[in-house]
Amino acid sequence: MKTEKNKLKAGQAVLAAMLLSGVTAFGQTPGTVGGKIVTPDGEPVIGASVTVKGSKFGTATDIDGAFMLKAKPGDVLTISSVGYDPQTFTVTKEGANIVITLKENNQLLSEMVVIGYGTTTKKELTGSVASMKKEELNSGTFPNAMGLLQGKVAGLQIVNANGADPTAKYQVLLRGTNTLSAGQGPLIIIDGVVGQDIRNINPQEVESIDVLKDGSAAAIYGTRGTNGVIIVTTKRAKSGNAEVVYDGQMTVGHVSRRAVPLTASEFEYVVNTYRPEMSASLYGGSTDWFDQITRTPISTKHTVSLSGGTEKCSHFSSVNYEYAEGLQKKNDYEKMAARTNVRNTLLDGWLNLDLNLYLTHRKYNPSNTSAFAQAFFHNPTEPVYNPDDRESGGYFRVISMDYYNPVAMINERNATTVDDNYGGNMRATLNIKPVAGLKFDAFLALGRESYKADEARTQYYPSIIGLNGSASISNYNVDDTQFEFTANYTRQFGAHSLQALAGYTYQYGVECSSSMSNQGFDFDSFGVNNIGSGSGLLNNKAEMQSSKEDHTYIGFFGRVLYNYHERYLASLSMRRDGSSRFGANNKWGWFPAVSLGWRISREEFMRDIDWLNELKLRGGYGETGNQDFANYKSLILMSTAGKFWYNGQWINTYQPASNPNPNLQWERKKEWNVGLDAAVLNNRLSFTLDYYHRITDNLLYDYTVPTPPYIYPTLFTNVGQITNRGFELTITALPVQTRDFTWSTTLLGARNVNMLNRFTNEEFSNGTYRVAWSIPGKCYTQRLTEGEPLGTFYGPVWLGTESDGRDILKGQKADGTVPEDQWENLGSAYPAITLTWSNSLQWRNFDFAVSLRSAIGGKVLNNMGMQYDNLEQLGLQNILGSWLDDTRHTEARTKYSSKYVQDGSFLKIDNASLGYNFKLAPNPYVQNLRLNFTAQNIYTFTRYKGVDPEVGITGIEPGIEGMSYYPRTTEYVLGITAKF
Amino acid sequence: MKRIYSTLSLGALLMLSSSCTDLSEHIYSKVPMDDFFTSEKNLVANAGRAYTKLQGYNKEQGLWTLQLQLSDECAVPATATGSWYSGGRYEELQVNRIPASNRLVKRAWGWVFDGIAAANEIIYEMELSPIEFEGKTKFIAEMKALRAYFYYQAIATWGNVPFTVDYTQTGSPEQRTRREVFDFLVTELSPELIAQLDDAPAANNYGRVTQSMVHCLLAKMYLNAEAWFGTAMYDKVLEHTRAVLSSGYYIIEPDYATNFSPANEASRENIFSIVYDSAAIPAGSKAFYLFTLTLEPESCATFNIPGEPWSGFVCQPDFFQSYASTDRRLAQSWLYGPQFTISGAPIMVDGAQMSYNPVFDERAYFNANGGRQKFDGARCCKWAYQTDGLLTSGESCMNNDFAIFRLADVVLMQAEALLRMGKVAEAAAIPELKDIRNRAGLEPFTASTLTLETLYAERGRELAWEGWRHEDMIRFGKYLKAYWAHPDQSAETHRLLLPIPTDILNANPKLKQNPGY
Repeated sequence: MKTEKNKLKAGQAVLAAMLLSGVTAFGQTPGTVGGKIVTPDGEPVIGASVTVKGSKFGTATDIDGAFMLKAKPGDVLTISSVGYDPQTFTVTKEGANIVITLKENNQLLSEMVVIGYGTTTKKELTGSVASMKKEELNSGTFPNAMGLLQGKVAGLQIVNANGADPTAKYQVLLRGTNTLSAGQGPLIIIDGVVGQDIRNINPQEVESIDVLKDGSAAAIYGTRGTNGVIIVTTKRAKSGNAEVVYDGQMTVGHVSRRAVPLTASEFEYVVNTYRPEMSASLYGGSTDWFDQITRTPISTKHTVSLSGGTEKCSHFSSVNYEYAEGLQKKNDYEKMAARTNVRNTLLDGWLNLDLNLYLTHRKYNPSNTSAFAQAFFHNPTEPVYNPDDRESGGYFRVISMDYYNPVAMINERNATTVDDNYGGNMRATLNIKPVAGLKFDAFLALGRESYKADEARTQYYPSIIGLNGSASISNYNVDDTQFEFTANYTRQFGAHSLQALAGYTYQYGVECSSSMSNQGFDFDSFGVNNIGSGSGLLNNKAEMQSSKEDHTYIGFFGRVLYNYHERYLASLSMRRDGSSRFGANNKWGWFPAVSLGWRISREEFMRDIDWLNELKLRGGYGETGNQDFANYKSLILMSTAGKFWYNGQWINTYQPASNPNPNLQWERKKEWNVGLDAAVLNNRLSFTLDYYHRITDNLLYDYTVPTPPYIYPTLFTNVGQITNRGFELTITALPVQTRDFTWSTTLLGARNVNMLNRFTNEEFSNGTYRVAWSIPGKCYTQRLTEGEPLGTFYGPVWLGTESDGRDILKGQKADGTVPEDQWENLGSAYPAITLTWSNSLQWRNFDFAVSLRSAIGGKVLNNMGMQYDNLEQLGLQNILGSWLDDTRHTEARTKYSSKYVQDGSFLKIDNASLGYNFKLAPNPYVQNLRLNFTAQNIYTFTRYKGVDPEVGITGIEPGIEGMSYYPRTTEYVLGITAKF
Repeated sequence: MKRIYSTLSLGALLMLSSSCTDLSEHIYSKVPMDDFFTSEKNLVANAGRAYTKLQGYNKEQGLWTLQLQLSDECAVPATATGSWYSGGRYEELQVNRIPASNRLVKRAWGWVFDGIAAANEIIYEMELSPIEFEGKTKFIAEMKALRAYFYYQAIATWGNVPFTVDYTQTGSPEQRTRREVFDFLVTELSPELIAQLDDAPAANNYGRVTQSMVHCLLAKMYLNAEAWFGTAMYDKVLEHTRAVLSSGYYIIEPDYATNFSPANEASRENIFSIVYDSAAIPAGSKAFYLFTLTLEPESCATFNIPGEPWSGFVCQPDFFQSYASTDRRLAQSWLYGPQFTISGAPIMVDGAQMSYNPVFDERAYFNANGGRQKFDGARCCKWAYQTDGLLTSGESCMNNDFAIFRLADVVLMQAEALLRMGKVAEAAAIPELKDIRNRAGLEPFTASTLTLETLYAERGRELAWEGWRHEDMIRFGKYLKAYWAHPDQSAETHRLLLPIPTDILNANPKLKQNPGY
């Protein structure tokens, strides 16, 4: 690698543009200038863009790096090429003998990467860390900032399982499922505050997101590192002129996929033709129930930010307002957020202060998901209203179990949740100026979440007619205090580079909650506002409760990053971590990590390989934990155990509510990671390949234990083992780059193999465990079996269909059933491979981005098809419209088999975005103006026969499409950004 | 500068030194066990949970419902719509081909052994506690008697069971034979222990263990000894039944219904009852909700019940037909024939009056044959349903207490022991036995009409659905014979014991499955 070496020799600070004057060897047209663009080694730079500043003239260099264009002395040429710093050159005279040497741009490799309690650069990185700047994140609109990352990080699966519900949360899964019963959410860190809620930041405020994927990178977060660490850095204060940015979005959505039932006329036809005995269920109306409870959702977002200041004192603030409508009527979401960051340098550079304050106010009306299920199967020949039915409030109703008028479910329920998050933090950095590179940090953060959910159902709410309405109020407050103290020392000793860190962190959280409910109100108009007036207090139907819990996490940590000549890299870290949740015998644990890197491209023997810009081999090992389970699980606590008739009155009795487990501890993951980074062809093509092997031990689960000697029949304890192995590949390329047109593309691929190795030991054995209950199938559809992946479907094998539609199942008995011990493995819910392909194109002032996402090979249980693609429910209830189109089998039955465990492979056109940057003449008002149009969730290609193959992937019951679901929408977003 | 530096480091040092490694948990809404046993009130509150454990006896998937189904008095047929099939777990019980994985058997086991674990813990804490109070010794004796009751149910049902009476023991308990546990229990329930208990029933010991309760329990065990392990102990049965009868505290109530009514705490026949109350006991697993198990929803109109019953448990047709038509207990126990609302109007369903059809073919028991029709089977109304409208949900608790032991059972046990000892005349002469027959509107037994066969039938009708039939059928040699949907299993004597549930075997490697399973 000559270029790199030469650059080092020349010294990094030199901006080398050289002009060698002389007589040109070849012909020259008057009024033109020409020459050659070369690397520091004198090699030609092909395809570099050369333009005359302030004019339309421009060209690109040819295969010899040569160019020629119209220019005159005094003109300024701008030269740019990927992999090199842009340069300007002032023409002194006409001629074709200009030689301009470009300085290699190592910005890509010098980019800062946040690694937790510090930063490093991409080139020095030894762990598996994905680092995304704001330009690289998704554009469009998302329920929360997690959407920015969907499909952007290999091995990080992000699923919005709740469709177009604006209050939806994403499910996040990094490198497979590593737990049976503990939490699976990654650790979110926002501006240094650990364990934050991603919903508290506005996507527009994000500056960068770093994802610590492997054990060696995440081990610095000890018992909370297993599910990966997502570090969000928001836009920071910066000095300079005052800058105001407005960002606005408007979004319109329409349903992309849903389960479509028979229309009223189809329903009548099917009943009359195939089930005439059910004709009593024809009510003469014609209602599209889905239509009745949905609308075209429109939402708007506005963000204004302000920044500026001097070197010594700078600030950044932003205010955000958004209002989003859900697809379901009355499902609305309002958010107001403000954030401010102020930075001060004091005492002649000895002290830096960094202050953050934030406030997020969310107010929303949660959806009634079961209304979608009711709307699906509700009889389309029923009218919506029946003014004669006073008891129902004028809604048409047929009294039957779990069968309710969906319109009444929406109209007669009023639910509002207010969720406020606010807090502040201050980081004080003391720079010990006499000792270069030494600094101390103290960080104090306070935060509070205040949550209140109200729900009132009127006397006409279908499932509670006769109770005279119900109301409930529930509250909780979470207070979080964090204190952190770190010492940092960064120093370069000749070829040796050292970064050392030592720190202590303390976090205390306390949660108080209370709730109350009542029923039997004289006036519906009270809602939740006069809850004491209900009659439930008199007849034992009112409830009241409160509780309070706390927890403490403490960690001591240290890390040393070392490299020699930026060629041999090493990172060593250790954390001593403790949590109040662990049993008395296991309060503290050690979490070591080591990773090494070798930048082969910087070796002497590689210096002659020109086409190779970077080649790095990385390897690491790290241990992390998962302690995302409830408080007090190790203790033996007394709770009420019913009423005892004692001396003529009822008294409360108390019992131990669990077995004590003084050995309770974190789930421990050990992870090996090997990675290769390469960049070739002037950095226009780069690869990152990682292979990992994660072994998670001490899995927590509730085990059946004998009583006696135990006092409680189950014990929450550490027994099992899960492994996840896989690889992740990221390819980034810049296939086209000219003056006017650029195309960059990224392909991500990931494969994970999950295995439940052990679920039992000598002491605790539950054997095969059945999970994933199917409501229509009336059975469990998955098993937890040692030696098989989680999410493995078991069921009867479907061989085909009789002419009348009855399923033929392998090994069926005379009554058509197959004993459970003869069920077969029907495959796993986890996809074999996930892929994402993102493209970004720029042409003049236009930019265009499109991304596609695919999962190949996972199975999905189509519950909806099992229940409703036959006539069994027909009569009072509706069935799938596809029955009429496809089979018209009259004897088909709802019966679980492999027929409904379907291939969930899909390819989605996720996101397409077109933007235009207005070229504005210098003016005192607007500096930049950008318009943007984005379409999201555009189309899904799949052979899956249910609604949407992209279903929940976390937990121990992945791959189930439920009967109650919130449909997804295709969204069209119009955005405007203006900088003043 | 230095000041700032030192202030910062001082702050940091303070933080580090004071609470920097403190990971203790603070508990606000619950009480740690270590802080609990500090007063008489709390000791009593913990001891009381042994009694609340008893309340689980009558839940839908408890030991009582298991015993009902393992007999000829009750059936839970699949319905024509497939309800109550539940993968065959009820059918397995009725035909007595029970796999160790049967959930109902596991639930019943859980109830029994959770009760034992609770008693062990309570006895340990009571004995450990330095707090002395009046009645503490009595409480310990009560707990030992309750534990004995749970162990008695364990050996009656499973025979060979894990055994420990020591709360401090860790590790899996050893399995003991039925005889070993039996011997322990009769030793444990010593005259000294009995003497520590209340003798006379009183308002302040209602629902609690008394001397008579222990005599009843011992009588039960001795009565079964011959059937269980071949040793006749009928003289002991006489001893303990006489202790109850001669105490004079109990009578055969003139009205059968008094013992089962919503206000049956007034019964002077009931000796030991599980206390239930609609207001005090929340709906759910500690509630007694027979109405839900047996009634069709249409019957709510008869009793002013707002809740929604599940209608699974019916009287077996042959059992129903074993009543003489003059037997008053027929109508006092069963709901059959045309049905009326609480105000006496006929209940109309699809244009016809609703009528429970008590006799239906056993083939309809099976799901594979289509199951029973909606109104097939007589329904139980022996524990008379309250009409106050408080049964608002399917699992609402009824007001009726459930008598585990009552005098009629004691009398019948005494008569049986005498019969088995060959003292027929003495048995037929028991005055209370005459009272029982008279009360039912039947001729009293004479020395010629009283046989083991007639006594067995009488026990069935008098004690219908009180939980004894399974045990009685085994003792009288009837259980493996063919009856109704139950096939003949005379050769399969291992089926006299239930299998130990699979999960329990897995959790305790010292357990061996009962032979034959």
